[in-house]
Amino acid sequence: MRRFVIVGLLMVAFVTCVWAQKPFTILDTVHVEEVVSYGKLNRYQSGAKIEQISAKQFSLAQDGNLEQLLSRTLPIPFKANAGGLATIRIRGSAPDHTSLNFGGININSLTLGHSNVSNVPMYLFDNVGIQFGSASSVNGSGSIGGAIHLGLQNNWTDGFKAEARVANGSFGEQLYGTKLFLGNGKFEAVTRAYYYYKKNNFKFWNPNYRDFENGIFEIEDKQRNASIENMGLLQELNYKFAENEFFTLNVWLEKDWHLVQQNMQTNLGNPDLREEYYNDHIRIWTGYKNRKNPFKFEINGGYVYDNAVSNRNSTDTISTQRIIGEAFIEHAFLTNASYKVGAKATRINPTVYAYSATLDHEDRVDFYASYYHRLWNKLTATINLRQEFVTDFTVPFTPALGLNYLAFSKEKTVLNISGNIARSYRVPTFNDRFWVPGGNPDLNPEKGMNYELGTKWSYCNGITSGNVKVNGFLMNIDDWILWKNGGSFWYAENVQSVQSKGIEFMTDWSYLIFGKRTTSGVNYTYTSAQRKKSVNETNALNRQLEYVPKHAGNFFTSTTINNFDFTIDGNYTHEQYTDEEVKNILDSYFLMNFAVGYRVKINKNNSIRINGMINNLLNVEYQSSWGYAMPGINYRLSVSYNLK
Amino acid sequence: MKTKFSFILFLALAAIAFVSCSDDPNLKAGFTYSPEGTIQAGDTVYFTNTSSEASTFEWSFGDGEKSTEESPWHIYDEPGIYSVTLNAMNGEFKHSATKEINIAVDFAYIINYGSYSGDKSTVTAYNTYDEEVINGYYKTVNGLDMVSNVQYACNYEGNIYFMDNNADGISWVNAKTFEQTENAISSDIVKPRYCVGHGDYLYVSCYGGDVWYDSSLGYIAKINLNTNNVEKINLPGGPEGLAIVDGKLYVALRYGKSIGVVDLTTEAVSNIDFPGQPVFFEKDPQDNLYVVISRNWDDYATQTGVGYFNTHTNTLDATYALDGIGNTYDNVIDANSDFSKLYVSYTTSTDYSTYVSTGSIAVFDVASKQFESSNLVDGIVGVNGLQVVDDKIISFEAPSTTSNGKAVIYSNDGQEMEEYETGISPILMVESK
Repeated sequence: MRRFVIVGLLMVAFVTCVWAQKPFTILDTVHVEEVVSYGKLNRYQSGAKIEQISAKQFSLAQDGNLEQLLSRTLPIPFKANAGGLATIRIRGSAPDHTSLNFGGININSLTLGHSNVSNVPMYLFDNVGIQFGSASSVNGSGSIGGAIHLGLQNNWTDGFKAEARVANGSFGEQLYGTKLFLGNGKFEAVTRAYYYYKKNNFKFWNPNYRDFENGIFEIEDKQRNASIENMGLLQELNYKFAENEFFTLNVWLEKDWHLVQQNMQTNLGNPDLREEYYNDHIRIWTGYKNRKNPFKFEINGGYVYDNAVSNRNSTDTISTQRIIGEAFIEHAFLTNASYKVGAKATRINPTVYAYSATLDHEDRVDFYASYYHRLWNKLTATINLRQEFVTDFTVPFTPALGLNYLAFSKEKTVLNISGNIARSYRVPTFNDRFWVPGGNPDLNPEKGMNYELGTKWSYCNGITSGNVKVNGFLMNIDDWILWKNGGSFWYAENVQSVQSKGIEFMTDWSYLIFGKRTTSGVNYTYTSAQRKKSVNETNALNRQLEYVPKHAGNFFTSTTINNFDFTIDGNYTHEQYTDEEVKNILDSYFLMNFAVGYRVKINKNNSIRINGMINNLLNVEYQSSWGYAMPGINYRLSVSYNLK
Repeated sequence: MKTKFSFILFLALAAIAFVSCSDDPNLKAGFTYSPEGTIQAGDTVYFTNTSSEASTFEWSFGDGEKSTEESPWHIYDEPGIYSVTLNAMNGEFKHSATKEINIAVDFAYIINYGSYSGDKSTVTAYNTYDEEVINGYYKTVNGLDMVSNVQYACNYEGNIYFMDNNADGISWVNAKTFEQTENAISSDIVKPRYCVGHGDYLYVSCYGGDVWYDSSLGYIAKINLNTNNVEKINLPGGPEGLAIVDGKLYVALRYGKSIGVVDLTTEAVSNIDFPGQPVFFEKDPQDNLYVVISRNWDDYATQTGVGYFNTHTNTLDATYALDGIGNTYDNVIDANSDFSKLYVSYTTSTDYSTYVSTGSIAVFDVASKQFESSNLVDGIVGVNGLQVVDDKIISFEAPSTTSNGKAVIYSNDGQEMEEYETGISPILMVESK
């Protein structure tokens, strides 16, 4: 029963702890099998901080979106309203400083630069990987603060599997989803589809009420006109020519609609205001992967169509199309060394009403090279180099260097120390460069420099296992672009330099309590992000940046009792500035959630799982985006039926 | 209890000390003054003599000024606490009475717009004597945040009225205390822009909706200040700046490219075509109007500048070209005290590849009817309007809608005298009297 294996496999020690016939990984930094189509992040990024959401936590978030998943599981701040719009801010960076990757596609909007992570449904994916810190040398433009990878797992289904899911929650929330897996072990077709709707008519106390004559300045109000209706389909067609030779095709169609949630003041003063917002996306990523020989190679291609329509105004088109081609070879020329070189070409065709008619397309070509070397089975070093070329735009050369050192590995404990230095950049969005008026084609790219030092201590004695991870980081971002008031109109300019530094502490444990398997974790992050320089004389310098909490943390604990599992989690967000006046400061808040799951196995092939969740258990009144109401205590109940 | 008794005793002794007795028991000095509420420098204080059996009087106002009138009035030039002494005399007999008058600090209020979708407006109080500012003054006084973005504010009959643009309402505070005690008017107010008072009414230009899509929108809200009832005077075309001359309301119809004239007696409306977008007025001593001529940002043909509108003939007598004027939202033109100079803020964006733009303040010489060859100030980042107070030019500057703006005070020869940090996006200053 008790087994502990340390394998010096390629990069670092790989430790598998076996408990009750279920293996699980306590050192998850290596996984060379082609089990995940997207999210193979680690091999050439020694010393980078990459986390993957645990299966249990991911499973609880299946009915929700990416913001709901990450804000509950990791101390990552979001600026969010009640489900319609959320943007991510990793380590004090801006939303357009985190790339959101689906295969080789960064799904961030080319016009706005960022994604609305409320519109990324977790039901369509199998896992999510998060890289903290700069990753431009691997992911290209935009990965200054971090990178998120939406993962799909190739199951190579032999036969037929299916899932049907229905969820119902407070404020008219509904989700209907299905997953169909069909294959013969070589060919696999996977269809995932969902429909989500939420009326979002929650009650809250509105502090914008003003009755001076009766001295009443707060009333109970109901959120109006904030409905959400999203639907999506993800189709996989995969073929395995041989054990290490695959073809994959993934098509993700998404149609999202919501009424723009009005802030509390408008909700009160203009209750009939109804602003619609549509997003349509087609994202296709396909590839041929040949890993049979020492010279491994991949050829990938993609197509992306993004379209946004505000208030049914279809004449003011905002859409972009992308065609992407990518190829790389990877050569393990020694048992302890390998390299990878590749190129990626993208042609972008914007159709935006406010751009000049002469702007037809833009071409981008990336050349990249990675090198991996392991010394004495203890030290791994990686180097990544990237140079992107963009039509009429100069992009900086982007190198990254990472080290990982296995300080010691004993029977029950393993200690790794890692470090990473990475340059990063962001090509300004199309709006930044081409919006008329105000776009400036002569902008400089935003540039980042990230220094990372981390340690990870792992423990396993067969019954109890866990990890303790501490990371320190320092990140400088220069030429941060903001839009400035030009009197007649606004214009984009390289305005400020920001320095973000902090410490992240993460620990997770699996243990027995009264004979029941329990997993628990605590995460904490301290982020000091300050504007150091600005061309705006009035910008607040050397003060915590807006919408970046200095302290954030979360915990979770989950225990399994027979067919039930119980999970309780909570997250704390420290107070946040929302502007540069010393007012409108968001209060700190602590949210707690509870979930219970029950699995009924009907027979060998059929099972039902029921999940019940109570969110915001303490009914906390809070805001994540200044002036926007958030729901109090609410529930979600889901039933999923699995065939096989 | 003991403390209270001691305090009363102290007051009694103080009263005895300040009222000297004469030998004539019937001779009594006494006076009252008005107003009884907040008095500010520049306000007229009326003293009413309540003395008995007195034939002559000597007043000492505490600021070095004296009077021998029976019931004089006096204006204090600076805030402070002044001891006013009245000596009431009858032949050889004299009796005195003394009272203290608090002349309150005189504020002017800078309205900070905030940002339309985020931060609501704030107010920066400017102490005109100490020349210091207090940010967040509305909240300091009222204990609450403002709940709208204020497009414009005007002082009329002791109240400062706020055009609560995105809250679709008109709210107001007492101009001296800055307290809000009454509820905002919201009925029939949609996107208020500008206000001017006349008689018992406040006239408010209202866009009425998204006038840039539908130029048929727009009206004047005529608010009865006694009842707070609102009557609508239909005036399509995006009414903006207002001026009242000789019983007529002149309305800059920005999106109608005309000037509307409303007879305030009959409420008859007429329109006079205009060569560009009229935005704001500045009334001269002859009751004619200098008009800011603007254009849409993508209209490269219309010549912007300042027009001179003759209200006696209702004709545009002249235009004075100035590129880049009028696209800012707020006050862009103001005159000095003798109306010899007009100061105009405008943007100097000439590079359409980058759009990076800065602002300037131009000086228009009224006598020679031309802009002076050199600007008062150049290179303003985030030009957001101006105002002339005591012949000093205050430039409102706002480079972004998340950071604080500033108010920079220039002398009339362009020397920077002072700079103050304000709230987000300052647009104008309203004086408290």
